[in-house]
Amino acid sequence: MEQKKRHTTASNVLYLLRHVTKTDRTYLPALAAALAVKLALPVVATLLPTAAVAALTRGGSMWRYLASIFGLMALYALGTALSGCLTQVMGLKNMRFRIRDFIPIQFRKALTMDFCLLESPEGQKKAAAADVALRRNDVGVEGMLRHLEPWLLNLTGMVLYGAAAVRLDWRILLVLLVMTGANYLIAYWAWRFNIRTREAADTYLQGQRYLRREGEEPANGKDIRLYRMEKWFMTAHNACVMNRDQWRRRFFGRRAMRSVSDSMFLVVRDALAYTMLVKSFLSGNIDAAGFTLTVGVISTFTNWLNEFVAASDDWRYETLEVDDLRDFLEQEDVFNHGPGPDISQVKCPPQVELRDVTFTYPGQEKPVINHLSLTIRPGEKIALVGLNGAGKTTLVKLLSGLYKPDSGDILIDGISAASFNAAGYLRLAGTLYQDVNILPFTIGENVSCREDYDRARVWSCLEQAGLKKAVENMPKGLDTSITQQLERDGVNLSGGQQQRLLFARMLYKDAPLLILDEPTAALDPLAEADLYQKFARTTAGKTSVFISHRLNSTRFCDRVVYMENGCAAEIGTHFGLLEQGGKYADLFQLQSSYYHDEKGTQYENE
Amino acid sequence: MKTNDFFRDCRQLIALVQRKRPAMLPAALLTAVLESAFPFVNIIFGALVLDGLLAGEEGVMTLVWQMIGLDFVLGCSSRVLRWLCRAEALTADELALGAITEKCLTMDYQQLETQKIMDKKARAEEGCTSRGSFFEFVWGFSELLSHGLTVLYALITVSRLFAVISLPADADRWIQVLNSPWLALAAVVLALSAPLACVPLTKWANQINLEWYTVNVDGNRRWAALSHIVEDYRQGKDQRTYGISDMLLAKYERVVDTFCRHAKTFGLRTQTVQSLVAVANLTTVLIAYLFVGLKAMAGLITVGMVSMQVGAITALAGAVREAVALAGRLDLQRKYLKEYTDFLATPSEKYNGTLPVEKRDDGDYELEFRNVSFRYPNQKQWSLRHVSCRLPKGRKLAVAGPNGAGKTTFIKLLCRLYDPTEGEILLNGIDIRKYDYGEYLSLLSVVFQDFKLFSMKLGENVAASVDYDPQQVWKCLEKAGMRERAEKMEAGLETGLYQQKKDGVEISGGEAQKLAIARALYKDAPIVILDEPTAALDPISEYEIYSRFGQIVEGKTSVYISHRMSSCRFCDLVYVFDGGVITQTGTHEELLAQKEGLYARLWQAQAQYY
Repeated sequence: MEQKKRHTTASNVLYLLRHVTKTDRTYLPALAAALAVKLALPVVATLLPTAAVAALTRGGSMWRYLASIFGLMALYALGTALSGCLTQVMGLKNMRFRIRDFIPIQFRKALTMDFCLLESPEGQKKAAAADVALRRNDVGVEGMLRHLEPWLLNLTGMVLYGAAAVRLDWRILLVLLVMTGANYLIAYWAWRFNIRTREAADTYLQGQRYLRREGEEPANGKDIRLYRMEKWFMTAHNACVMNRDQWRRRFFGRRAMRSVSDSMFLVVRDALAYTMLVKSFLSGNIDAAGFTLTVGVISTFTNWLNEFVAASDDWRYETLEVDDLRDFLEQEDVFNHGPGPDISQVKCPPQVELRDVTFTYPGQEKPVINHLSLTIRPGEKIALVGLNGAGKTTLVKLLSGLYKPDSGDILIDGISAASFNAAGYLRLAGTLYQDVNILPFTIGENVSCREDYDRARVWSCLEQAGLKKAVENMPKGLDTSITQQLERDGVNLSGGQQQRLLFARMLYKDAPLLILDEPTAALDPLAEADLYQKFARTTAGKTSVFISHRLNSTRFCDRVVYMENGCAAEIGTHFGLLEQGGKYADLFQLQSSYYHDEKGTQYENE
Repeated sequence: MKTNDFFRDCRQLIALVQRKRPAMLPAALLTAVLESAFPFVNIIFGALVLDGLLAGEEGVMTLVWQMIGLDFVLGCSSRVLRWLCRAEALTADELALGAITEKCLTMDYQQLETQKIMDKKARAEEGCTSRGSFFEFVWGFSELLSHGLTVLYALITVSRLFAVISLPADADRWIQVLNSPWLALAAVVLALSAPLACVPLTKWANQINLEWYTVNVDGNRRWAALSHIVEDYRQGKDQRTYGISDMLLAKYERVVDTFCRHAKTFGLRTQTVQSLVAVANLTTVLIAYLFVGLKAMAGLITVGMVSMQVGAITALAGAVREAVALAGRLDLQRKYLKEYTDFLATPSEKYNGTLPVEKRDDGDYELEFRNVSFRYPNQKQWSLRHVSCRLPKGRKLAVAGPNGAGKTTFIKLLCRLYDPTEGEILLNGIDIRKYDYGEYLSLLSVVFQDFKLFSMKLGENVAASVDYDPQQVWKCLEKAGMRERAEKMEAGLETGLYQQKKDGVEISGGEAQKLAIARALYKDAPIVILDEPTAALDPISEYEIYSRFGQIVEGKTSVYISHRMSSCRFCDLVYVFDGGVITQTGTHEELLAQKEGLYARLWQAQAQYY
């Protein structure tokens, strides 16, 4: 595993600031205003009792007393109102930055980065970690920005008050600095513990989330009830909670040590400060007002110090999360995302040639595709058959431009597929994947994958896919949403209808290369036969690959490729291969035998 | 608000937390006691020290040591306790979310699928997460206690202001006025009036908050759904091939724009009210300084007392203000948490009988559909109409028919996931609704078309339980044709499936199907239902299942649904569904002989190419 790149906290803060100032011009001025107000507010708060004691003990007039109290109170009120508003404004800005500016960056990356990277276990881990940094407002990106203000504020306060404190007694300053140092060290100790144990602790949290998500998913409800899984789920869930609870106690115990250490240092601080102050007072060096002011300054200074350590400590956790996010965003793609040969110069239908292609999934030893060579002629229909695990679906991913061969090359009209711009190449293939994923959007959007689409064209694709009638009967036609996830009046489609909808989507895309991976699995025999007809019609003038376990489908194809262990074991026409009597012939006999009686003649409607 | 409701709900909610984490409430209350005393140490001792200094007393340092000692004990213990509370609370919140899952796991399947319940669930979740948690709620009560104690301490401290000093007869008139306990009372009342005057303002702010929550419910649901699509990497293939990213992002941005707009409007509105409140509350401090300061100026109290009394009055007013605001917040949170408890209390809508299922070793259970019709909720069209049929004991049945003919609905009714709209389903002559549902389900082993496996251990998946009998699991894996593959896995039955678990293995669709069959076998129920069990299997695996079918369902009643017509050949009886009605019944040979029938057409459509 490659070493993850770690940035310093400062680098991460600047990274976020660079982004935030790009989209939000008033961010820095608002931050500065908030700082100024919040810095001034405690000064007024310290001055108030001091002024009162001064007026009372230095023998000022009543009017002077009233004037100073009223004046300071007015200032304080103004400061309070301003500080509240600025806090709200900064809160809104930080939130907006996370959800409106940054989450789309993460989404776009997740949606457009090379699929092979995203799908790998490594990529999944990165994606999950990046998600943590943006999921909530008190961690990661927003947490880091939120803590910028207290960090700056306490730093400034610390410096200003520290200068005042050093004039009083250097020993007090020393105690406070040692306290801060100890505080920092304990915080570091707790942080190290967190780093060491974070992965395990996260597993418990992810475990909970997974079990909650799956347990609450309506689609899982049937199996859960039939097999009485509630106990299984809850036992596993509560085990995760309890494991996390134990971890948290150990972690929080370490963090609580900071409070203990603080309290101990405060004893020393106060002992020193009061001894010194009482002595100065008795020797007449300071008066009552001076005494009050000093106590105020020391306690405020301690506050700045503590808060500064706390803000720095928060950053120490957040910077790891921001690192994870940057690690995810800065992943280098393996495909060419720069300029490449003009995709429009590819002829329709194109010729597709696999030349000695080998591919192994990362972390696995055995290649899934093993020195495969195959030329698909322009406009040819290829049936790809083979047992589960022969590499068919991987080949689909390679042809669709989602994966890249480790060695060998895929040539489109003689041009290496890898040389094209990746996004451009994706337009070349219209693939019907095996797993059915329908978006909870409208029918029209599902077919066209656009928000503003050509309605007539969508209708004609639905008609060709045999779904027009069903959609016409829906209350809102093309604007009917699928499932009720987004719209209350959404409808549910049956397995067969879903398959047809995806077929319509493939038609709408009108790509020169069509790849269909098990499109008939959910269809009844009539619909299956119907799809074969449709397939024959739609693929006219296209190069196409058809994968199915129902071997009768091979009849519609020009050539059959029987795959085994990642190689093309047999290539030929259906009848040619039957005559050859190889593995394909065996497989075909096996399946067709069910449709014949014992004597081997087909059941016919005599 | 109705006070009675408030107390009843609060009692219920606290009892709920007590059950989950018994240590949380005591710890929180103790923290409150310690924390409320803490500021008074400095308020009281600070004043005493100052006065002692001004009076030139010797014993000042003794006071200082007492103060420092108390500070240490109270400060240290309350802060450590706070961490304990946080730990307890976070665990309590996780358990609370788990209870939502538990409800989803056990509620009527029919309810689980409805939008109404999904909305209710979303509100329950939000009510106990982003809108406040059980921790905040319980903590609120400890804060309430803390404010109460603060008021008590403050009143004791402030009582000194009411002391009347015996003045010389020639004292100034205004000094006499300042000496009056009535003036002291007036000042304290005045100081308290500001926070009390703000009560309606605070309520208004809460109202705005509630409104804000309500307008966001819909957006939050959309947001969650859209995020889910992006996070589900399995959809990534389609997203790329069909270039869905722009549409998805545009939708997300619209949802978030609305969200931000609301945040701006409501956030600023709440803030304005809150700022007003904060400023108004400062009048307390002003009044305290005016009254106490003048009294000190008149020599009626010492200078040290000024800071002490100002501190006490401010603390008093603050506690009253916070307590009132807190009561409002607690009431609001109670309402949010009520959504949670309401969801958990959602009653079952279906009739659940109590009859136990007679235990029979001979597996002599016979199911019968008697004139059953069914319509999905809110649908006009009948999915099943007047279906009458028997599932004779020990026979192999096949159910055939085109997509949408009602085959899967037939199975769902059989499992009582839905109840018939009309007619009844009988088990040994008794309506299945009269049986205890759990017992009834124990009769059925079903492999649904869209069966689910979970990212937990292989053995657990087969047994659908944490505890499993390894020998039995291996036996079932063998029968399902999955033993060899499982033996190759490093951790055997302990191997995790999929990637949620570290070192989990990915399995193919065909392997998953075999595992689902193994799971059905492990349950060993007298009635076995297989819905499209070979859809994802290659011809060899399909052949294996076919040839093992007899062994799998040995002596049991079985129902086999498949679009691969070949499977009907080894069944004893075929029911052909079309448009929710059984149109043909018979053996494979009989049905094939009815040349114009649907069955023959289905068969021919598939057989012609072999």
